[in-house]
This record gives sequence, structure tokens and C-alpha cells, in this order.
Amino acid sequence: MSKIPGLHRIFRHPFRRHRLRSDIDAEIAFHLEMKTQKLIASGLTPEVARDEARRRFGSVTHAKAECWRIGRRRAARARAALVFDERYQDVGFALREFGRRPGFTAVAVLTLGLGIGASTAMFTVVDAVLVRPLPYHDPGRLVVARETIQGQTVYVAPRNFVEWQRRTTMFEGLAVGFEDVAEAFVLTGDDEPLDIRAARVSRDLFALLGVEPIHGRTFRPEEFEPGQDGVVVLSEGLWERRFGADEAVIGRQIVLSDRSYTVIGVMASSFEFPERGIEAWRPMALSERELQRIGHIIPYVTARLKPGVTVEQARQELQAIAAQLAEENPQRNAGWGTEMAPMLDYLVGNMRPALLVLLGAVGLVLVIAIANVSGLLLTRAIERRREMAVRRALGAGRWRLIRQLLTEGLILGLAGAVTGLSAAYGGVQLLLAFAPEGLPRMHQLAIDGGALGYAVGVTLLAVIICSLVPAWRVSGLHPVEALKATMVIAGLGRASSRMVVFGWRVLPRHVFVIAQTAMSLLLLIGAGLLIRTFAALQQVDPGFEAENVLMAKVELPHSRYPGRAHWAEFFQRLIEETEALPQVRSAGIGFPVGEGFYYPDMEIEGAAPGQPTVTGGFTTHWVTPGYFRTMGIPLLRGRTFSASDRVRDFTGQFWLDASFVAIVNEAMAKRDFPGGSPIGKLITRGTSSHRIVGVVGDVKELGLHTAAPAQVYFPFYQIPVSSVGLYLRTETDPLDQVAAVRERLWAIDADQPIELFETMDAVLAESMARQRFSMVLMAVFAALALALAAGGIFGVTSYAVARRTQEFGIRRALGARASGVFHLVLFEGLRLSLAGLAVGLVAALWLTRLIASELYGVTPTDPMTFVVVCAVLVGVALLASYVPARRATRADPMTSLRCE
Amino acid sequence: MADSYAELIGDTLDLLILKSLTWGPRHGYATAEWIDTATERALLVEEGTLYPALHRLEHQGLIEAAWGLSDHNRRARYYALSALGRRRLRAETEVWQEYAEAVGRALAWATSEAA
Repeated sequence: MSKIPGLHRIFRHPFRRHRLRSDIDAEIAFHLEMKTQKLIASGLTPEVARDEARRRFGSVTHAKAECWRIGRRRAARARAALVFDERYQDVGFALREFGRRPGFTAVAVLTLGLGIGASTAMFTVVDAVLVRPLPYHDPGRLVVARETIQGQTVYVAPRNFVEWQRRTTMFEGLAVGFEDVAEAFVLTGDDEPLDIRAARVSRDLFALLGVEPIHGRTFRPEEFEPGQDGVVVLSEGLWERRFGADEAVIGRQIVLSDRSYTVIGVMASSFEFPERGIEAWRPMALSERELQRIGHIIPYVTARLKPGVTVEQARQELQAIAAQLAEENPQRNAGWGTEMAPMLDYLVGNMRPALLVLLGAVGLVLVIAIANVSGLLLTRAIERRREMAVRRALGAGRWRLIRQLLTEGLILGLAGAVTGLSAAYGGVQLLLAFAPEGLPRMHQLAIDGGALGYAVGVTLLAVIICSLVPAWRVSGLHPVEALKATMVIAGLGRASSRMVVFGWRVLPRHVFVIAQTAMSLLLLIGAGLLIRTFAALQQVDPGFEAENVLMAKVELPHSRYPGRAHWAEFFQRLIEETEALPQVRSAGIGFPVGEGFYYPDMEIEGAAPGQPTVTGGFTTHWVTPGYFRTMGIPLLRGRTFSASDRVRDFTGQFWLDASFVAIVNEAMAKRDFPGGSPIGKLITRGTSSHRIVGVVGDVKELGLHTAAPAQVYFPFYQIPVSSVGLYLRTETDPLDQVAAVRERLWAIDADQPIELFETMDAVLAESMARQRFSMVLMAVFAALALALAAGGIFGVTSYAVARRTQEFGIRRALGARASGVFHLVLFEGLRLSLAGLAVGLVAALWLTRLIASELYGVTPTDPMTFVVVCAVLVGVALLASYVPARRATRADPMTSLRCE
Repeated sequence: MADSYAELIGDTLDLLILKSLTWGPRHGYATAEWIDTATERALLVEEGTLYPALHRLEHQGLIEAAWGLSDHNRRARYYALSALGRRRLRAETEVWQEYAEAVGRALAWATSEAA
């Protein structure tokens, strides 16, 4: 091709239609003209010559049409080939380019992958927990109502629920489903006895939620009459596990705690009401007597608002009804209020702030990652100006260059996305492993496609924009200008895009570093505050000695153990049997952890003599004498329970026994007996009165971050209960005793299951699980951010050093000392990070209040945290600038002068 | 005479075009002139048929085309042999010569027999 004279351009493809046609016209016209001239030269007149030339040529129209046909075909094929060919070239070129700079590529891809992965994983969790609608019909209209006493939210009494149902007008319906905690359900039959969790549901529950069974049916109205309620709906899980997913189970009789039930339906595993783990539902058939007798046992009432009714309107109506009830029956309802929230808020409410903060944090990580890669690309763009200019000068069109850079950006972004997808998968597994047990709806996790798409989209966009910078800088210029510009830039540099802030020259890549540093600071401070919170929580004295204590939860079925005498006898034997174990120091019965009954009121002998007052709420525990010793709860005054604090005969009105005693905790002593001693005072609960015989230390049973509630302990042998926690203090690892304890229990009753074993250490750890979750995640995000920011500072400083090698050489040649150059570069890196620090501090002072609700024992602007974090960040910035600074001092005057 | 020649043109013209370009790039007119001269104006009766042939050869990748300046500083479309075209020409020339010799021999023999 180069042999063709007067060649215009190398890269030129006449594929456009109008070009093709005019080319053919011109070619043929040229031919005719040349022929005519030749004929004129041979002696013909111009007119004759023109005619002769046309005659010799033949049909011009036919020739043109033929050429046009061929040209079109050729153009179509060539266009396809070229597009493919150039794409192929672009991809090949991009891959070679990345292969030449493996370090750059690896850092960019990993950075993008981490950013995409972390944010997708976090968003997946947030979406699963906070955003995804509940699996019920029109869940937006579902609300949850509970009762309150003195500002504290408590369970609902069935009798009040029935009144609400009768009196409200704002709801399509109200329904309840609550676990039978008073009774254990043991599924017996052919297999080993299976302890299951069952719930009682009210008449409209299934219809109200809009859920259908996968097999069979739900309850009929008449099945809510006492005596006709021997029917049960099973969970899909239980149906599969126990009945081999056999549809024929519908209509079969099963035995639950020695009572026979007919299986009428199976609910899908997605139905988790009132909470996860419930495996059977029975009708709530309460006689009027039971209704009046049963206390506050319903965790919450579920209601569906009528269309158009707001939560606020419904809330006001329910409050008004509570006031009515209090007026009608002040003895039972005075002081009680109601509280209402959308159902989703109720289920996830306490996780919302933590999750949103973590989502914000991971968003920052993504932004930092994008900024980092953008910075890398921008730096590289400057290096590539010369390359772009040369390619442009050789005839590459502007679009061709842009397409090339676009391809590079796309490949980089896609590699990042693939890395990100695997990181997201790992991240979700990690989050699941770390998630606190109480985190609702987490088990339904699957990587969220939308979140992944969003993260990848944002990243791709940023990467592509940054990739295009070299094209934007160069391709618009005339090739020669572009080359000249490159020369200028390659020299001492009079670059154009530059801002001046407070006398500093600020380049775009500097802005990235400042932003990164600021955001890292934010995350580090967040992590620091959460770490201090966690540390503070671990310093909190829970009020008992958790080490080497094992708890086993035991529930006696009322069918085999019908009364208090049986319960007392069984558990006394259990204590004797387990205390006989060689590794067990002591044993006691108490309430299972976190299941202390909350009582709203009790009459006490107050400070004013003879004047009974009603206290605020308190929790109650029924414990054996050995409980305080086993748990390590200190006795402060008076005495603990003794063997003589027991009822021998539970027949008749035993609760009127005058020898009933109680022990209160310090919080209660301070609140209800200020200035005096509670010992010897009488407290009255319903019809039974107890004389206070001792005061013990506070136990933080509502969580380490909240104050201990008022607590009252009753002697177990005076008021035995059927569902208890057996506590054992052991010599060695408490879990070693599990098998032995089980053996002793089965020696007493081979059909009695133990619901769960737990060490008190684990209980304590679990109580901090939410804080640990927030802390670990925030720390991981902050570490990621710090590493990325350090990389950013390192990159920019190294680049500046590389660019200024000549300058450093000159400085050295003119007598500057190595230490001078070293400090110059170090200051350059430090300057950027200090600017970022300043921006970050302002933002942190303003933003940390967002996590105030997650903090304990530390203020959102904790000076210690701020100082330490700043020091860490400055240290890292210095470290990141140190290597480039060392390199700058090695600049040899002669070599660097010869560089240009 | 012209008619029977014309029937031969289809195959032969391509070969001659390739041949004409062995001395370097030419525009269409120069190619036509060369063929006229070389064949003593026996072959290319209608010069217009040359152009579809050129474009077809370009389409087949046997020749390459580009706009250039003619000796008189006029814009002209130049054609050059591609590597593929060069190989094709060599192969076709051999085949053609063998074929022409064979046909020529056969015809000469028949004529002498008849004579």
C-alpha cells in the first residue's frame, strides 16, 4: 500500500453510501476524461473525442450499477469485519496493556472487588432484614400492638386483647399467636420423644395474615371452643423431619404431651409466626375463667388496619380504649397503656440504626475504593498522554482512541465485578457467621442481584469515566498540538487543569487522596468508638460469676407432672442427683436466662408505716436455696433461702401460708425502701404475701448496657414452677458435664427431654452479640478504608517523586542535602493527609451522633478515640510517604539530569 | 470475431488486470490502456466492463485500492496487487499457459491432420 503515491491516510474506510457512489462517479469520470484527452491528442476534435471515449467505454450506467452492487456487498462485509477486528484488537491491546503492568492491574481489580463485594454483602443483609416485605398479604397494613406500664413495653393480657377486639373500629381484625411457654410440648409416638415449640393462635390469625397452608386447612371457628380444640397445624420442617413429608399425615392423630390432636394442615417453612422455630399451631380456646386468670403472656397483638387508616389514628383509638379499661377496672388496668408500631418496625426495629450505620460505612468503603482506582487511572492517564498523542498522530481517529480506552475501562471494571461477586459471596457467609442470633430474617439471605448490579454499575461508571480522561485530554487536539502538549507536560510541566486552594496547587488526584483520608478517618473513629463500647461492656459486672456455670433448660409436661408437688419433688431429686456428680460444686434451680417474669405491680409495706404502696415493675424469679451460691450472686443483708422455706402440702389454699418469704435485690431496696431496710417488710402479690428476709446484689438480666431492674426472688419450694433453668457450678469446663447431667435426668425420667444446654459465659457473649457484630464489621470496613487510603497516598507520592526526579537531581546538584529532599517529599504526602484529616474531623464531629444509640460508656466525641485515630492515620500517611521519600533521596544528580 | 473474444473475457480479464498491476499501482484508465496495448485492442472491447471487474477483485482481496494523485495532479483511484493477488496471478498464469498450450497444440494437430 505504501507504494501508492500521494497516500492520504492509513486508517480510512470509504464505507459510507454517499462516499461509495461519488467515488464510483469520480473514478469513471476520470477514465472518460483521460480517454478524451488522449483522443484529442491523436487529432480528434473535442466533441468527437468525447463521443468516441463514451462509445469505447460502453454503458456507463451499467458499469456504475455493477460497481455499486459490488461496493455495497464489500462495504457490508468489511464493516462487520472491521468492527469485529477492532474490538478484538481493543481487547487484545487492553489485555497486553494490563499484562505489562501487573501491579497496577492487581491493585485496581482487588480494590474494586473488595469495594463491590463488601457493599453488596452488606446491602444484601440490610435488604433482607429491613427492606424486604414481610411474607404476608399486604404487609404494609399490618401493625403490632403491645401494652405498656410506666413507659416499659410488656406483653399483652389475653383479656385485654379480647376487649380490644370488641371495641376497636380502625382495624379489619386483630389476632394473636403466642408461644405456650407455660407448657412443654413433647411429641411422642414411634420415634424418640421430641420437644417442640408450639404456639396458640386466635381465630382470625391465618386469614388476617393472608397465608394458606401448603396441605390441608387451617382452623374452623368451632375449633376455638374449649373441648373441640384437639387439632393442630404443623410446620413444613416438622412435617418433613418427623413424618417424611407424607401428605397422608392430614387427618392422623398425633400425641403431644399425652394429649391427642388431629393434624389438619401444614404451613410452608416461610411462615414463622410469632417467631422462627415454632413448629406447631393450636387454636387458642380459652374459657372465660382462663381468660380472666391468665396474665400478660402474649408477646404482641397483630392487627390489620382498615384501608386508609393511619398508624397514628389506630394508636390513638387503642390508647383511648386502654384508658376506658383502666376506668372500668382500675384494680387491674390502672396505669396500663398501649403502644403500636408497623409490624416490620417491631420485628427489626432495634437492628435498624446499627444496620443503617454499617450500610453507610460500607458505602464509604465503596466510594474510597472507586476514588482509589480513579486516582490510579488518572495518574496513569498522564503517563499515557504521549502514547495517545503518538497514536493520534499516526492517524487513529478520536473515536477509535475513546473506544480503546473504554474497552480497557470495561475490562478492568468487569474483572473487579467478578472479584466483587466472589467477595460478596464470602462476605455474606461471614456476616451470617457473625450475625447475632436475634438478628431477624437473616436466614433468608441470598446475594441481592439489585445490590450487586448497583455496586457494579457505579464502579463501572467511575472506572470508565476515569479511563476516558486520557482520550478527553488528547483526542480533541490536533495531533501535532497533542504531541507538543505532551512535550510540555513531560518537561517541568505547565499542566492546565489545576485548582489553587489557599495557595496550594490542588490536582484532581490530590482531591481523591484528601477525600479518601477523610472518609477513612470517619470509619476509623466509628470503629474506635464501637471498640471502646465493647471494651466497656466487657468491664461491666453482670452481677453474677459467669465462669464455669452450666445452664440446662427443663420443662415438665403438665400431663405427666400435673401439680406443684410433682414439680417440687422432681427438681429436688434433680438437684440431689446432679450435685452428687464429682465435678459439680453446687446446683440450683432458677429461671432460664432472660425469661424472668415481669410483674407490673405489687403492694409493699412502704416507708409510711401501715400504708401499702404499689411499686413500679419488677422481675420475679423462683429459686432454690443453692441458686445464689451457684450463680455467685452476693448476699448483702439478711439471709438467703433455707431448706425450711418450703410448703409441704400443696393442697387447698396453700398460698395463704404465713411463712412465705422473699429476697429482693439492691435496686429494689433502694427504690422502694429509701433510707430504710426492706428486711422484715411484707410484699403482697395478688393474694399471697411474702416477708422479705434478705437483699442480694443486682443482676443485669436485661442486658449489660442497661441498669438492673428491680428483682424479687421467691423460694422455689414454696411456689414451684414447671419450666426452669437448672444451674450447675462446675470445677472444669461446664460443657464436659452435659452428658453426665443428661444421664442423671434420664435416670429420674427417661421420657423427659432437656431443651438446651448453655454456659453462662456463652450467654454473656451472646448478650453482647449485637455490639460485637457492629464492632467487627465497622473494624473490618475501617481497616479496608485505611489500607485503601494508605495505597492512595503511596500512589500519589510515588508518582510525584517519579515526575520530579529531575528536579530533585537539580536540587542535589545545587547543594541540597538528602535529608532536605526526604523531608520535602514526606511533607508532600503529609500535607494531603492532614488536609483529609481536617475534613474528616469536621465530618466526624457531626456524624458520630448517628451511632450514639449503639454506644455504651463512651461519648460520640470521645477525645481519646479521636486522638488515637488521628495519630494512627498520620502514622500510616507517614509510612506511605516514607518509601517514595527514600527513593527521592537516591536521585543521582547526573542520571536525573540526563533523563530528559 | 469480436463476439467470440467477448465470451472469453470473463475469465481472462481478471488475469490481465492482475498482470497489469505487477509493474506497480495503476489507476483504472492506465490498466485499460495497458490491456488495450498488450492485447492489441483485441480483448477489452467495452472499457466500461473493466470497472466492475476491478471492484470485484478488490472485494475478493486480490487487489487493494486507495485514492491518490495522478501524474497530472488529478485525483485518481489507484489499484495495487495484494499478496493474495500476486499468488493468484502466479498460479493462474501457469494454469492458463498449460491450458493455452494444450488447446493450441490440439488445434494445431487437428489442422495439420486435416491438411
